[in-house]
Amino acid sequence: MTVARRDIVKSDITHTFAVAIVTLLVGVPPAAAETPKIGDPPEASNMRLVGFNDLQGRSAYQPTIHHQGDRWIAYIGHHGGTDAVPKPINPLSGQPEFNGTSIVDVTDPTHPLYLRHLPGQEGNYEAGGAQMTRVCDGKDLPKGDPSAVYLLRTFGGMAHEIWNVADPANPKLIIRLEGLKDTHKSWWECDTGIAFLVSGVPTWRVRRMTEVYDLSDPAKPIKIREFGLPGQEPGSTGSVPTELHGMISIGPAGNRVYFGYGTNKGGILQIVDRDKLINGPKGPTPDNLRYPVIGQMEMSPLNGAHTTFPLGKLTIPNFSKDKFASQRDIVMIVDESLVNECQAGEARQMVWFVDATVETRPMVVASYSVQEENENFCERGGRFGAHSSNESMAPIFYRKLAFVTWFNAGVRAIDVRDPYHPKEVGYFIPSITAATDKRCIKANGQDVCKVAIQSNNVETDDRGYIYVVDRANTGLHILEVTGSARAIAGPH
Amino acid sequence: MKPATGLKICGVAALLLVVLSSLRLADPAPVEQAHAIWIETKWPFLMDQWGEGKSFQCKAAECGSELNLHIRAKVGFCSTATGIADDDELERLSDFDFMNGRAIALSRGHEIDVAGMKGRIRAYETVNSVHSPTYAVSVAFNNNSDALVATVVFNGGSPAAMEPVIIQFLNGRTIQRWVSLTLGL
Repeated sequence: MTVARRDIVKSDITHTFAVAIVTLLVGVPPAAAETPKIGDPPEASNMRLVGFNDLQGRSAYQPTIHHQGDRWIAYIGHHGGTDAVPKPINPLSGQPEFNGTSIVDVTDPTHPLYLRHLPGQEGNYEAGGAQMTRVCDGKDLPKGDPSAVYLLRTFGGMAHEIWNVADPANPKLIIRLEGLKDTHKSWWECDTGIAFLVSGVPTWRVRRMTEVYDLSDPAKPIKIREFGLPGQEPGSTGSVPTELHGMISIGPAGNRVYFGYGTNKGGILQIVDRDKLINGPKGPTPDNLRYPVIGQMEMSPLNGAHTTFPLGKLTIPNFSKDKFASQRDIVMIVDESLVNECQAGEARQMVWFVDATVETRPMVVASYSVQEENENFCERGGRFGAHSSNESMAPIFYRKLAFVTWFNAGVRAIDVRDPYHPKEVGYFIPSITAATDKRCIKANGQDVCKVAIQSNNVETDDRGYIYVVDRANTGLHILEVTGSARAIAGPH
Repeated sequence: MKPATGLKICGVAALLLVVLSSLRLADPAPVEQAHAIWIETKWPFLMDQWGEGKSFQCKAAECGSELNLHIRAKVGFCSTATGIADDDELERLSDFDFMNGRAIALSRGHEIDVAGMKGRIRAYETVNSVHSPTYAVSVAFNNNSDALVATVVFNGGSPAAMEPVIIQFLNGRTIQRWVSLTLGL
């Protein structure tokens, strides 16, 4: 475990001076001097490292942090292995295992305890592993076993699985929903059991669409319907609309599900009436697919919609004296960058704030992006751009601070209290380790590779800890906010 | 076997080969590939998420029908694991907006190989209220997660007859140099 004792903030002046000296002496361009090295300290502002676990050197996607009795357990989904190490060794069993789910006790965040690795599907990178995790207590689900804790995870692209993780060190498989051509970032309502699964039903024209399930009794899943954009359904022809990435439901009380389509291109935010989606006509016809849709916003085709995180109604400071519409209904959209080192084929992927007060006419009102200028993120190696935000709606951060992973720029803390003027208030870029995998681009037909942090997904818990996981095998970093960022969050 | 008998068998086999070859050539009549001259033209489409690519035209005199080919890269849009495995994946990648109207597939697609890259091709008839029916061919092939997608639109001739000349052009130096430059190969 590595613990940072203090924040380390880079000095621009020192940095610029050092780069100039290096350039003068050895002719190394400034960009090359930015490539991280093992032993470099983390870069941070208003965020501090609390604890670390290497996650057995596995590439990580979604962390879900669950308060389980008197313990806090992190369930972390993994991508498949790499060409170099397709089946990493699990030190607990001594056996090589395909990447799956890491189960880590984070009750003491300074000493995360790795409990169990649950293998996933064979295959490297996106072709294998078990990227997604959601967790519900049986006592919260309408027909769940009160003694059970249920992990819903993907099994590569071929299936969704439900495990009983009441004893997180000894999970028991309950059921597998298989026969799919892909899976991804699903959502599960613990109070109703309704699950919105990102699936690839073979008859559909896209790899990813929605299957709505009633998982109120996880042992007896009931499929409610299939859903997607008109033109994706079986039998349709012509252009195939942008495929689904994920969704977030605010449950029966809010009666909305926010769907995000697209990754780094052709993004669409879709605001859907949850009740009509679940109880409306179900056959996958264009009319039935349109029926529950309240509003739909097509983004610039240069950006996608990885995460569509509803922030709810916020009073806009500048509108506070207005007698009409001083509160606005805001959705934060996070794009996903796919391309290394800002190369061709992709525009900058970032964060967009959408005013959806009039749900039929949502509109982007602000954006946030990490400043590349003077920091040379485009040359540091790997991807630079947005990927994913925390999705916890726990009061400690919700509607105040949002955390967004930015690959080689680590995780960024954004003050969203005024979503018309979002402001960065902190960041943390973890140090690379010997486990951090390289990322390459082609130059003159040759692979040019660099080793860089690739902060992939982030989640927060009710206590105020921030969990950042790395796509380039570096592991899990547990953080907390400090300084002015902590003041925004309020008392922990 | 007597030498004379062997010669007779060889002669019949050679005759059969010629007849079969001519039958294959007759249906459909292929374009004389050696005469195909492709001229680069201006990219005719509005900017979208994939940006601009390259456009080329082969006149009817050289290709039997005027062929308009548009090709561009879709970086990171293809599955490294499965490539362009079936028509669903081809259609997910295809630029239907470049075709002159609603596209109706003429048959199932089939596998192709372009400069060592695996891919798939499928032919369509396109209909709209302005133009008489035209044809379009969608071709996609991939290098790891990067896809190259070509759309070829033409008014006459048979898509099957046009396929060899299209594939030959995609395999040629002009396109392969552009692919190398675009994907940094």
